[in-house]
Amino acid sequence: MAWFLVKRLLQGVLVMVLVASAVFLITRVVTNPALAFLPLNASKAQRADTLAYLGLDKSLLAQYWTYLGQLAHLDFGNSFFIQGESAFKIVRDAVPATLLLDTVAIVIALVIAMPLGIIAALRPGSKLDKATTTVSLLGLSAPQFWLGFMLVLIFGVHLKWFPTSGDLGPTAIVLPALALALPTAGKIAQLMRSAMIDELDQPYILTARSKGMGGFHRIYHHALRHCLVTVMTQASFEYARMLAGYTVVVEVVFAWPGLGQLTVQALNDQDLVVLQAIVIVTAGLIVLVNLITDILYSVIDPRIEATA
Amino acid sequence: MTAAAHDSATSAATGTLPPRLLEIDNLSVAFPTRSGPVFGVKGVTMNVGARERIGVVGESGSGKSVTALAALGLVQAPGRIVGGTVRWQGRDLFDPEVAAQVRGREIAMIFQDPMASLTALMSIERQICEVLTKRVGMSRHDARRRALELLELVGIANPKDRLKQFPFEFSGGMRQRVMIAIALAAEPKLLIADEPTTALDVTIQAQILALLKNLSEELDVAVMMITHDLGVVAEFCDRVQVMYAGRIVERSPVEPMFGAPLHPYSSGLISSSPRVDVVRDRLSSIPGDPAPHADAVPGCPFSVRCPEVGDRCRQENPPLIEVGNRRWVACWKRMPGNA
Amino acid sequence: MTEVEALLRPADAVAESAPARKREFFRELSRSGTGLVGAVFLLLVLIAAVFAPLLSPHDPNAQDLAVRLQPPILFGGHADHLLGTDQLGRDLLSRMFYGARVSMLVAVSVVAVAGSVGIFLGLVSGYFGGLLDTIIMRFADTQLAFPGLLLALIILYTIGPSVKLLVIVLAINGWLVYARIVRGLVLSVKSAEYVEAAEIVGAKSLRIMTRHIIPNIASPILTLLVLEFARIILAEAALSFLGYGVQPPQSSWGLIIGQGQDYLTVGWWLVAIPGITICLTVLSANLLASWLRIYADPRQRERRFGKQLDALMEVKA
Repeated sequence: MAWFLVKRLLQGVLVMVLVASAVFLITRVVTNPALAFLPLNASKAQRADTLAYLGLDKSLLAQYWTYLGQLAHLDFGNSFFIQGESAFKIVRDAVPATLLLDTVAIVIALVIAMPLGIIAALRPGSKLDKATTTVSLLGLSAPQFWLGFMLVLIFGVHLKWFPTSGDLGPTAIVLPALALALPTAGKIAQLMRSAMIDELDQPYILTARSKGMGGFHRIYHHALRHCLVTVMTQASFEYARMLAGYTVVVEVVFAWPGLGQLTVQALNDQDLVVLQAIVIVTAGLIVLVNLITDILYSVIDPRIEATA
Repeated sequence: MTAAAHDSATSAATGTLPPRLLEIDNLSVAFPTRSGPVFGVKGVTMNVGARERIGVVGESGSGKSVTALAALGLVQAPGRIVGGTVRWQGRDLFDPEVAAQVRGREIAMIFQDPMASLTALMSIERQICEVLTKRVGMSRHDARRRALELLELVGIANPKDRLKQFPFEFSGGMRQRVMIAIALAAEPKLLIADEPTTALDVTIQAQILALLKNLSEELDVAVMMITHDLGVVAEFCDRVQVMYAGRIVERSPVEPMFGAPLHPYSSGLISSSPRVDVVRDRLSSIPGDPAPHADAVPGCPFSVRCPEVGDRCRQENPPLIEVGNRRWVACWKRMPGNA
Repeated sequence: MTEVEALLRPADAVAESAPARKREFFRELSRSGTGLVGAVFLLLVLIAAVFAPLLSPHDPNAQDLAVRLQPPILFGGHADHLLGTDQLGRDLLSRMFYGARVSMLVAVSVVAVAGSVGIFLGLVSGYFGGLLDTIIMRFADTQLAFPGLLLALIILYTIGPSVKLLVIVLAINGWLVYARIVRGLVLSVKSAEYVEAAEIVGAKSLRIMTRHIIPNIASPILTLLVLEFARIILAEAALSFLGYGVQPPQSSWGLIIGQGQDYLTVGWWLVAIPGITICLTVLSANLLASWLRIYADPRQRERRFGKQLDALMEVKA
């Protein structure tokens, strides 16, 4: 088990290096770094300074080496816009807000989706099933940012139930979390439904029926655990996807002070250093999420631990 | 010889019947398809008495499993029971309340593939105890004690350690023993075994059959053994019903049937079993394919493959008729007074 | 016919009666309810996209400040501008038509590019296995952890957003889904007996692939293509919304929302209508995909049929 974790960690490090290299390629090789790293109105002297500072006057390989070394020390360079501030620090400060939002969102999604999926699986093809399926499909078809706006309009502006932007008070998280949660809930509900339908078809459920165990008992005690691996895989994937991008659009709509908001700001400020840092840190978070998922797998399904 | 075994043997020999537990009468089960309803089981009548060991034998698709499932109300939609009655100790098993009461407690079932038929992510303790705690109302403590008893009964070593384990931690034969333990937990009067040894090695097969035989005698449990393997029938059963294309074609005590089978299909089955004591160049087999369902051909479903087929066979379906000594056959060529 | 040739029959039958299968496909689709709704709506969107210049009542970029922020006709607007106007007086309906054009173009292009590459790699990887398979799959595994949208943003930012780049970026992001799934399908079909039989007889790999494997995985792949199409529409909308996707003067549904977001309270239709359209389009694709999934699996199909019939049937013993 421990060996398995170590292996995954090493894989994670490899992934981070790959991501960092991809970023390096994009920012130094594919584009003209001089243009990319400087605001448009920089003077000639500023240009020369920055080039030297970034080491862009050295060979590409040397740059790469320095770059990796800096990253290993969590030195992403200093932000352009906010002179002197470490990019890493800026990004690090924005992480908790995003993690909070995403975690609340995934929890809401699971709480909505799992019962919905199970109910639909009870009588496939029934009116209830068709209704829940339609609602799920509707949910997962909606773009998160648009959902955010609609929620703001209906619940924030017209009904005035929730605040529409900014502060981190407990009610402020509701609307943005919902905007993120609903499409995910739709996907997970569909998955839960089909996983449960498949499980209920299996021979061990027939055994349970022959023992006279009731429907709810069969679903909750026998079948559910077998569905969890699939559902968890999807949930973790969705969480990673939120981190990897969809939080951006929702944070923009709600002015939520997390990584997404920071990304858009950095784009506007042409602060490539910070952007780089965001991408690499996010990759790191995703690796961590995958690792935690793997651990959870072996908790749910003892067969996995036995073979890993 | 235990009392139960003695009873069985006496009944079979003298013809006095043990008290009837399960009475299946003219049962038919149909499945809807694009070309109309298909009968997996048609007009099947069979009875199981206390402590009897009866066999239901036939090829895949003959309807033997469906018959048992239908008796317990476990046929999966869209298949449905379309005729006949099933009674358990006089009560109507089609009544959902009766069925809910009887399943698991008075009639229990074990299945072919224990790996697939046991819940993979549930400890065997829970799988054994759940009937006891949730339906019999035992305390967890008592149920656990009973579970340990059962594991010993079915011959599993170290029951204390094994209780907390999962099915994948057992070998094939052990898993089947666990299934038996689960089935016997609430002391049923009838155990339906659907091909319990088919997925096992031959040596393990013998062990499991011996176990079932012992348990049946010690615990006073009747067994309905569903199988395609005549060897199992010969070894284990007192009486046997032969099914073909959803119908019963022969019913007989075991010894007379193996000595002198009545129905051409039974003869075909018996002679196509490989034998170690006879040297042969080719295995004999019944030509043709098994009939897909009960009404595939007008007349006797076996007529297409029967070596003795006659005109009447092709036109009319022969009824199942008693021809003496508790032997029944459905064949025009075996009617008393017929050539 | 030899016994071996008879063994090869199942997949042969698949390839031979292709025209009959096509007819059956459309017949089933027309009977399907939600699947049909999805297919029809998508078709309508495609038509709107293709015929945008003919269908648009106005020039999408024509500004007319006199009629700025007019609501849609059902909410007090004018027949002149059925869906209202934006802050510069541009007709929303026309912008929607042209937006459909770009959004559809992007989605179809990405699916075509990513699909071809991904399916090809998946086929090769699944059928030949070995080192090639390992390399491709390792690569796919690591790309899973890449923060897709963020990287896309950085690329679009540093190089400069354009529709062409957008397609490339989304395609790079999306190829691995196809590779993974196709590989899985190929692996499961490869172990089927009729493929083994074909190999024993000495059929060449290419022939096996085209005549036996591909027909049997065509349906799930089609489902995947439709689902990916839906996903790309959402991804492009998000990127355009942020300003790094489709650029003005072209329009895309996401871009319209982005341009209209500051006017949410006074011009809600600028956000609501494009959003609803995106939602319905994606929903249609999902409905179609759900139906395809059932259609592709004969067991599911028969079960559905059985259930329908069971309710209506009167069976007498």
